[in-house]
Amino acid sequence: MDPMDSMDKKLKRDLSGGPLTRNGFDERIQQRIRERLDHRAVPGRRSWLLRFGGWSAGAVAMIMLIMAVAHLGGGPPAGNREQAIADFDPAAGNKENAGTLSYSTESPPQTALLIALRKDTAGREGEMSSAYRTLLVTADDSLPKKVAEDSGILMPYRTNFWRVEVGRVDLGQGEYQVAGAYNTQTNKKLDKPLKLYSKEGNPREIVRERIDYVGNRYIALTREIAAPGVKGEHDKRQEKQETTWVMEVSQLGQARELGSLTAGTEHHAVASAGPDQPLAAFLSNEEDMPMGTELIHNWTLTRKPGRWIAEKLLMPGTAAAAPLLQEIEQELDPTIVQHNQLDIPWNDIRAVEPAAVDAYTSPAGNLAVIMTDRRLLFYGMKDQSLTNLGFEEAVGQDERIIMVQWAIVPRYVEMWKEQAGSLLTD
Amino acid sequence: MHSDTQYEYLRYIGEDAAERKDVLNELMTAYGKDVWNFAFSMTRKWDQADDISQEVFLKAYRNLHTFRSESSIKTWLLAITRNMVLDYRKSAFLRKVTLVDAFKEQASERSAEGEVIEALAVNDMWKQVLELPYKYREAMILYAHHQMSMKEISQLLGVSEGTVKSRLFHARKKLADRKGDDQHGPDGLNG
Repeated sequence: MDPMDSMDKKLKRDLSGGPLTRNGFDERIQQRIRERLDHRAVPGRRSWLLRFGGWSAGAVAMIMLIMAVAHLGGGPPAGNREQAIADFDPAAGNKENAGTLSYSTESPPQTALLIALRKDTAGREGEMSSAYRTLLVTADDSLPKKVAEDSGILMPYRTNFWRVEVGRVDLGQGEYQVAGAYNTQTNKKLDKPLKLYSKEGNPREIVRERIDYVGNRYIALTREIAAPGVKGEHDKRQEKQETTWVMEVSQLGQARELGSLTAGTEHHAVASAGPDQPLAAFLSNEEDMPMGTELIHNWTLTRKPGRWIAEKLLMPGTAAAAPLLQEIEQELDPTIVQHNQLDIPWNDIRAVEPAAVDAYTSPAGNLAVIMTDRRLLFYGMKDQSLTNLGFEEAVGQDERIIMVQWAIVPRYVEMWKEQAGSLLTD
Repeated sequence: MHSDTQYEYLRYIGEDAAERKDVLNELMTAYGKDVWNFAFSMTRKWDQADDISQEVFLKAYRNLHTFRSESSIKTWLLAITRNMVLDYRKSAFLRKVTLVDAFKEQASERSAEGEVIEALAVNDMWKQVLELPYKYREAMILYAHHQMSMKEISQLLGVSEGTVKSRLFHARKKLADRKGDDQHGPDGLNG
């Protein structure tokens, strides 16, 4: 036989199936397509022009706004409005925006810090469970001190504090461990903060969520979907899939539908990676998603020493392997992470704490948090140098920081001490 | 199962949303995997294949009435997919040339793509084909996986049949050279 014919025969035989062992075009994508049909107007050629026109007008307006802000000495970035409780005081202009350079030097620097940690524990059956806790720490011209601590996550959002929880919900047949959130101002001590329902019976899959990041208005979580074991319980040997999602806290405050969780079709925040722009996020149900940019549905926020980074999911995790993530090498928009910088050189930190693996510094420049394998060390800070240790907090080996939120405006620092302090000690 | 002739009526399809959605569901069931696999094979990126396959079916939905049965529905969808991939490649190129650290990014992307392919490719032949240069890979996949004729491939790619043959020749040569390098034994290309 002609060698080329023989080769073609083998090529056609070996390439007859798809390239991968896993089906990429699953129900999740089909559902997204159907949803986009329902949510998005059909764009014709004219609407492309209109969009472009709209973008141009928007860009001109934005340039004019930036020029006006620069001329007047600055104003709050639009995306930061939700963080009013932490960073923006309308009465005081933009000095209180979280950047260290904009902090007023007329009064002693003040900081209130809400820091949340997650601890993972393996159960007897090999299943992982997570516990969360939040600390309130303050610092002024004296050394940092712990004001309060409680289990769970307490996050500042808009002008209130929200509780973010992951808990078990029993829908009769199956038990599901999902995330939820509620405004502590409008919902005092909810007995059942997690609102989960099912449209079409109870899926047989086991659903488990854990929180990976909390900040500004976003929550990053990992969702595990697994087939149930013989007794309907989680069995680590069963096939499972782990995907990462980012959601707005207000979305977690609404009732969640189980079917859309298992299908991966729940509304979520989509990362938009455009050229020469910081990575920003948009809601998946927004009609005007940015065009000409890469849209990333499955992503998360993780920590590199000294800064948060965004990573996109390349391949869902399985029973045998963790999810495969790739760093998105773009700066993060402040609406996703504020003050994503370390204001003390690493060498200076390691000179004081050789075991340091990560560190955070207050935008007010008076508090530094250094993490080692076993401890969290809260140092005073002045002129971008460490002063003295205020206190230290033991952390477990399987414990990691998932939230670091700062308040540096004096009246918000006071509000945090009172309200968050009270919520964390109730 | 899904004969292309059954889609001839698409040219007469009206504006009825329910009817159009039924057609879309049918197309997704019949050709969703083909579209996603082609997008993945061309981009080698899982999330881009997700995005592109969504865009393809949305575009197909909006343009159902433009389908002409001179080409098969599958060829029509693959042509849309190819155009989407080219758009993505252009935007990715623009993004890369604006980055100072472009070489570093390219290196890390290659590594991550390689991990997915290494972990999930169905066989060594697919792994090798996915490593071919873009133009050779495209021609080879249309020829060997989709088993399209030279004429169909040339129409889809917008090049002459001679160019298609040339690309296939170079693709085979590269695969054979790699085989020679790897010495895979009896299960190799000449087996």
